[in-house]
Amino acid sequence: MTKTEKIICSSLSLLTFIGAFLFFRLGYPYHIHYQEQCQLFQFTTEYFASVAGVPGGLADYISRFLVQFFYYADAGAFVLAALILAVWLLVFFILPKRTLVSFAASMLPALSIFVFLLDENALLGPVVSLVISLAFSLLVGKIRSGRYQFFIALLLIPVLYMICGPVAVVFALLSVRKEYLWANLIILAFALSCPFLFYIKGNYPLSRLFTGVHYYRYHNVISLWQWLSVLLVVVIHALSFVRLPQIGKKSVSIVALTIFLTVGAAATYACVNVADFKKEEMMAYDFMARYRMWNKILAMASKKNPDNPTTVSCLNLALAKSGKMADQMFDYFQNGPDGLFPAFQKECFSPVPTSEIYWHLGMTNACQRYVFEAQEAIPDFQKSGRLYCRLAETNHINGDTGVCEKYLKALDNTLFYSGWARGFRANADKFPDYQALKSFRKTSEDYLISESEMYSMLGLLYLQDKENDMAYDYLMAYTLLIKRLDLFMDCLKLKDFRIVPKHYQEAAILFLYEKQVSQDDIPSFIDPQIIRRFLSFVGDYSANMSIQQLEAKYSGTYWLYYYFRYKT
Amino acid sequence: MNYISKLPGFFAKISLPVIAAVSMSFGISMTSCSTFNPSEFSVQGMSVIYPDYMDVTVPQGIAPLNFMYTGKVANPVTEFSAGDVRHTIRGREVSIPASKWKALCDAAVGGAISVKSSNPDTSWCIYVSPDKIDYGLNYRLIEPGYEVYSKMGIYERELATCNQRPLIENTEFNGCVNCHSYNRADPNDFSLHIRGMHGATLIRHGGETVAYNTKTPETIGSCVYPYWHPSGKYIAYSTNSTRQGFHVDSEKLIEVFDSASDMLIYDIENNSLVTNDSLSLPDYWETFPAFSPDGSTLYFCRAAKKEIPGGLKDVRYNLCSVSFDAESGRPGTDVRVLVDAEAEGYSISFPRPSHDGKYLIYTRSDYGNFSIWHHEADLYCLNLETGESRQMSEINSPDTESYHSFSSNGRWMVFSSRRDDGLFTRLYITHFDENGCATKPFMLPQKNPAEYYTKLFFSYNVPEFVSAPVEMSHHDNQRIIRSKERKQMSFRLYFFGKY
Repeated sequence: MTKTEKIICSSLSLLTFIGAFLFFRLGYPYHIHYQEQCQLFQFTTEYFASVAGVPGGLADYISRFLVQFFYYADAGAFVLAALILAVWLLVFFILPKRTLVSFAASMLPALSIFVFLLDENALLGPVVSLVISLAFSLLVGKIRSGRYQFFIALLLIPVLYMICGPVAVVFALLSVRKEYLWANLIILAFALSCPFLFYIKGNYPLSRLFTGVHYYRYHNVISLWQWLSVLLVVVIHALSFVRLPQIGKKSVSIVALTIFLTVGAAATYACVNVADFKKEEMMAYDFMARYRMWNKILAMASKKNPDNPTTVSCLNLALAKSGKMADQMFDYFQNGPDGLFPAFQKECFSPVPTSEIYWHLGMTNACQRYVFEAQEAIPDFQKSGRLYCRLAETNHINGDTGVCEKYLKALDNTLFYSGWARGFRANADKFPDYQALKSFRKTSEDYLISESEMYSMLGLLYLQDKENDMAYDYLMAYTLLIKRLDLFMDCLKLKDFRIVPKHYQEAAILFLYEKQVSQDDIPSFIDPQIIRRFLSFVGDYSANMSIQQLEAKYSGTYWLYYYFRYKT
Repeated sequence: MNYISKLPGFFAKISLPVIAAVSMSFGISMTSCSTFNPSEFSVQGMSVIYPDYMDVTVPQGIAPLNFMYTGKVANPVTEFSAGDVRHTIRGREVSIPASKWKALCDAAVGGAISVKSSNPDTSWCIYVSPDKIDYGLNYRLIEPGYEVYSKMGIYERELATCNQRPLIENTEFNGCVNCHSYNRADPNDFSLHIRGMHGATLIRHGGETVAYNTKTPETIGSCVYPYWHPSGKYIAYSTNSTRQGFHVDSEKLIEVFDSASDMLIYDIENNSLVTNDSLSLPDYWETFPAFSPDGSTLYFCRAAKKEIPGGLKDVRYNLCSVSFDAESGRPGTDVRVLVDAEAEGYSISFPRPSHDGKYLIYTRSDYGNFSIWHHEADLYCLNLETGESRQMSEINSPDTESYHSFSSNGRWMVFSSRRDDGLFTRLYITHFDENGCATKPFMLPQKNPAEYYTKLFFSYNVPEFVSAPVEMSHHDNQRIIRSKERKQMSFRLYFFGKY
């Protein structure tokens, strides 16, 4: 390569790294946090043994080590960008001819890895495995003697299978040399026999030993993108041995440029169309609920109305925690009680933000259940640092100090949660939040939690502790969302207001209207302006004004929800 | 304060059961039955060592009872002696070499190993029973959770060492494994239930393992809670419609309850599930079967049907028995109530007769049948000759005691308890003598028990003795479980034994 070409390659590498970093950091940061949330990396020999003891285990251990830094999105984006760049450069360096075209072609496996990493269930293990396998290929390729190369490759194949899992097949395939037919056959046969060797131990089906014990969060899913990257490495490597007709320098540059542009376009397409920004939004809401960024949630919702149970429930939590629920909740999209308490799903994401709601309400057992279930539902049987912290808290609130300490001891072995565990031990009894939650727990009665009887539970929760304003907000919101204005009016009497919140006034006038109460009997807590606006609404509604017009004119009112949303 | 009475009328319609706080009826009392350990025992948690191995009785050949001093003790010296054998260990963590431990046990058979500690200045005994114990234990390890499960499996633990091996894990298939049972610790007769997309009941008998579909159109669901007939020809099951509920109170977390259940006898040779109308009464729930050692009686628990979940706190299971004809494989209709728990306001689960047929151990809780989630659950011993029950205060603790089973010679009993931290179930083994008396139990030994149990986030479920290693091939299991082939059980109902 000429000096200019080297500068071009270096610049493109740097630009790609920066581009990937910026994409993950700015466009996909909550996926990074989610990855970290789905594991609990512990610096213990038991943890190492449990992870590294399977084919691909060591690469998996390294990947988990790296993922713990995803606690910070900056670090996560850096790691992801670095791995993508590493794949690109390693592929380039193992090619026999280093040209601008081969440099451009080497991007393809890295592109495939990039797309693979856009999936929140894609694990870093296969990427680390690919990097390790390529690095060994590069090192073995430097051995001059073909015979030594053969024996060392033979020796490394089972070792790499143990370290990297079936992705190590790339090492075997790159070791193939056209001049050594028998050696090639032996190497390939040896590589293919590795899964059988580990099958004897018997803990995993043969299919998983061939496709990877822990490459994807769902063990029964095989990611095509990950295997496409392996295939591309092998194909590009094979093609690099093919003698192509001599073409001029200009043509080389055009070919290289075409490949670069194609890869760039494909990467852009992947960013826009393959990346799941819907999930990113849900993860963002969850992240902000975790760190109590209530104002950020409200700001985010103001820009784009959340429209699914998880995001709406986080928004409602933020409204309640900011004391704005009773005045502003119908400024945003609402569609039934699922926006307060999303129905329980047996999976590892959605119960987590819901558990935050129960936590803040003081329904500690319900919170604990959701947290525990979410953790148990992590498909690859990992634990979660975030959820261990919450389980320590719920057990502390419940007075189960032994169990709480058990979680804390596990957190002691982590990099980013050990400080939290120490702080918790030192200050748990002083935290005002915990004091409040403990006071909510002081119930003399017990009952079984039933999501279908949320109304009664919220009522009991509030009556047990009238300091629990959030319970009241949720109780009222629940009656409004299920459109039970009779219950709403009963609950309205449970609290004294200086000024009755806006939505409560709107619901009250609606109730009285439906009961055909005369204007003289309308209670004084309803603002005359709201009465006038309601009468105007009734007039427009009766005159069959279109929904769009009504929405424009009466946006942010309960009446729109009552008549047009959530069909009970 | 009773909030319910202060509620506006519209809250009173809550249809959930309001469950009164459970009073824990627990008391350590001295009993006259002290076969090997005449000295006083200490309550778990108050001991100066963890696990509390003070004055426990162990079988010869058990793994070393390693322990750790609790609290702040400086440079303790622990001296073990039995006959001419002596061994001294310095430090808080006491790890006894296997060879020394064996020599100590051999020298102390029928007597005791004396243990002296310099700091704290105390001494205790470890009694060594001449009664043999089986090769090992089988149990399920699972996190004590709610509905969703993560990694879990059935494991085998060799009792002479601390070695544990997986017999079957859910890394091998999609689903969970639960109810497993052996015929008097015989590893060649087992029944194992698998739930999930690969659901099946594996039964090994006569050297062959077969995957069954135990659900029939006439039965409530799959067959669970297996108990083998001593002849090995029959397995008693119950079939239950089980649900879960979650408490709001901090004292209890989970409630598991049946909304329907019946008893069934599986005739292996004829591949038929048999029951009669006295074991599947429409107004009663029958569950937890167990055959008497001579095979002529079937014990089980029965409760009058209640509206669930509203009447949950009123569900109380009595201990019942019915005759069983081992020739025809038919249960009788002469159901007798052995312990009228309902009349006394409590509930019975997991009846397990001793192998000499003289006693029956059961779990007693305030209500319901899933005692593992009841902190008040304790073990009781029923004298089948006198009909008298006594609380087994020598083995109970302030927390849950639940599932229990006997060794093949009936002299050892393993049971699960939550006494350690209130949540994670651990195993305890006690010696059970011909007078129906148990000794102070010892926690299942580990190489470094303090560290091991602290780091272990699994609970031990359904411990069962096995007399030899279970020959279970992972490959065969995977092949059988992952295949769609299931042998369908047939069903036969007898009306009062006539039809």
